[in-house]
Amino acid sequence: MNMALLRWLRLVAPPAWITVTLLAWCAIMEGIYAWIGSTLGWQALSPRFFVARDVACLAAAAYLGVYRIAAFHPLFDSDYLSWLWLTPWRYDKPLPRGPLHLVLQDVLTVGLITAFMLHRPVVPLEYAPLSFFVTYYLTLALSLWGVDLRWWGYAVSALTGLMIAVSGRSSLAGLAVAALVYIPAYAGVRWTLATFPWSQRTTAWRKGVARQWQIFTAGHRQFAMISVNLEHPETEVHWPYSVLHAKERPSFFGKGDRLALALLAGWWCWVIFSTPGAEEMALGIGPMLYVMLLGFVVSARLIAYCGNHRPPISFWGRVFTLRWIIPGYDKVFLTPLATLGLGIVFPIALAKLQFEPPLILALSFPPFLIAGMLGGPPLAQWRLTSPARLAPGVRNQQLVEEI
Amino acid sequence: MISLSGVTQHYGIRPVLRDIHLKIPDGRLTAIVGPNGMGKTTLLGVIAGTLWPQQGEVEIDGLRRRRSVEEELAIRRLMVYLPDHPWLPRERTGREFLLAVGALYDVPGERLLGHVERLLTLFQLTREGDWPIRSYSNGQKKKVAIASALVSDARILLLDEIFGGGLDPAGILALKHVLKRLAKIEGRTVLMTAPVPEIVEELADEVIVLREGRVEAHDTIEGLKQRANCRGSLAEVLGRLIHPEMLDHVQQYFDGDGR
Repeated sequence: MNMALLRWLRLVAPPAWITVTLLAWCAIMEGIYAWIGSTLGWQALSPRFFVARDVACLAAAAYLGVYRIAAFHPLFDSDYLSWLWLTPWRYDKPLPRGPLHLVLQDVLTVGLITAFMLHRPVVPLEYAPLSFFVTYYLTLALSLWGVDLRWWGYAVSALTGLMIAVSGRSSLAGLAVAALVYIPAYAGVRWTLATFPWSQRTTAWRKGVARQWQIFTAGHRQFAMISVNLEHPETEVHWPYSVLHAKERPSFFGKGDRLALALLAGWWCWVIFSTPGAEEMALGIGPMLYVMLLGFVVSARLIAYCGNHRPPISFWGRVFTLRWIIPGYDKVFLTPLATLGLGIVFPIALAKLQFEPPLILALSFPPFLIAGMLGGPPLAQWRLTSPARLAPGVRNQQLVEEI
Repeated sequence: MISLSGVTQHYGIRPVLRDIHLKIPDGRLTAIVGPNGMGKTTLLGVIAGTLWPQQGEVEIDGLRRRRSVEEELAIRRLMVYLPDHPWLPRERTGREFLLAVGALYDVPGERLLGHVERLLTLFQLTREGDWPIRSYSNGQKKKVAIASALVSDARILLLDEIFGGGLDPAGILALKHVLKRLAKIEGRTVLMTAPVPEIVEELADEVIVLREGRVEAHDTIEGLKQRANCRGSLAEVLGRLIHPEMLDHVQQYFDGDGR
């Protein structure tokens, strides 16, 4: 009977070490608490004593949320995905490794984590399931994006933000919203499975991410161990092939994606900074993040457009030949300038209109992000038709050799 | 056909190319010669599309450079450009690099594998082909770079200072034979810069002589000889065409020596 119960529980249970570590940590905390209480007296103990225990429980719940999608979704495991392709599995059958949707075992596991916090909790007990839901929904949103149900993914992400915003005011109401968000999330899961095997774009995206991760984590010596990528040979070559090739690079982020991401950034900004207790962050870390992101968008845009595509003549050439402005080329600076302008003007104007700091940040993010990500000319067109002088760019001496 | 009309190019204040008009026919091996700093590499860069001329137009088979996405893509599929100093991936083997360039030009798989093998044999890199490029000598790097241009199977080859960079005699000999055959038998267009007149005389169907950013002459070697009124070697012909004062300078040099 016990073995059968264990097998049933293990359907979606996290790795045993997580459970054991959490149990041991909670036992140690309770032991220390009991020892101090019995030797120094219970009044000597601060209610904040259990912060470490509660943080561990919340982290465990959050981990479980990620784990439930990342470990069970074929998208995140190429071996599982390849194997599944070869089987007669269909969406009306259970996934062999375990379900993506929530099951009774999840309720028990999260309930168990919550139970660990029952003795003198520092934060509301509802925070444990809420932590689980936040990471579960966000990982699910990422998987929906990955299987090309992008708008569904954006919607789940936005609704998760709503759940957090409500939770900041009433954790019980937050739980109610979490339960409601489960309806579109569950629909997303069913839709994901119904569209298996996913589009070529999904496969390309998954392979691309896996490969970039492999390259990122490999030292330049180990780089040679990674097989040459003949599907995207433009990533394997350098000057001049890297800038003169005829391969069209499909962008994974369409206009709709960029718009959605800009709006989501504003929304999440409001969610985070408007949470009770976090308003001070909107005056401290908020503006810092804002300036950093603005600088990043402008710089990334300039590097992407001008890194290999330099002005056709030098600065002094412009000055002395009286070609101070080269319209065909200099139009590339209009979007970064507009981005910078919007990024500066919006927060100042909103502050003058007496908006609250979280709202100023939330309303200021989307305009400059939209300008920076959607402003013309399109990169592919610029690379092929701009009146620019093509240049090799910056050489990574560890990976590139110049003859 | 490669066609340039009224091309003027300058990076800074001094024009490097001035009002260049050229028509380079298909299936010929054409060499660009001229004194140092007179625009040979710049001319090749303008045709290759790495430089944007301030005036004039470049057309390849009637397609204008950078006029539209479609035209530019079509041109890029037609030609390969090998500059004097290309960048090679240090940690990739020569074979992997050649496979990547071939794949970039959509060379079919089986042809690509066989072609890479033959190129490695041609340039005596059979053993080194599976070593990382960082372990190559300068001459071997030059060979693998040249092989990368050849593996593309492009119809137009633009090759800058192709015979420099430490190529050994066997490499030079192999390259001469390959370029001759590509132009004469396979009908490909080869446009190259070369500082050594002897090589140009041996290979080129046509020669473009650049002087101070202008086309001084564009003719066959025989035509150049007639123009210079000289039956000697191409070096002498070029001496008369480009540096008519050079022999005087030599004489002045020795006259000025008081010994």
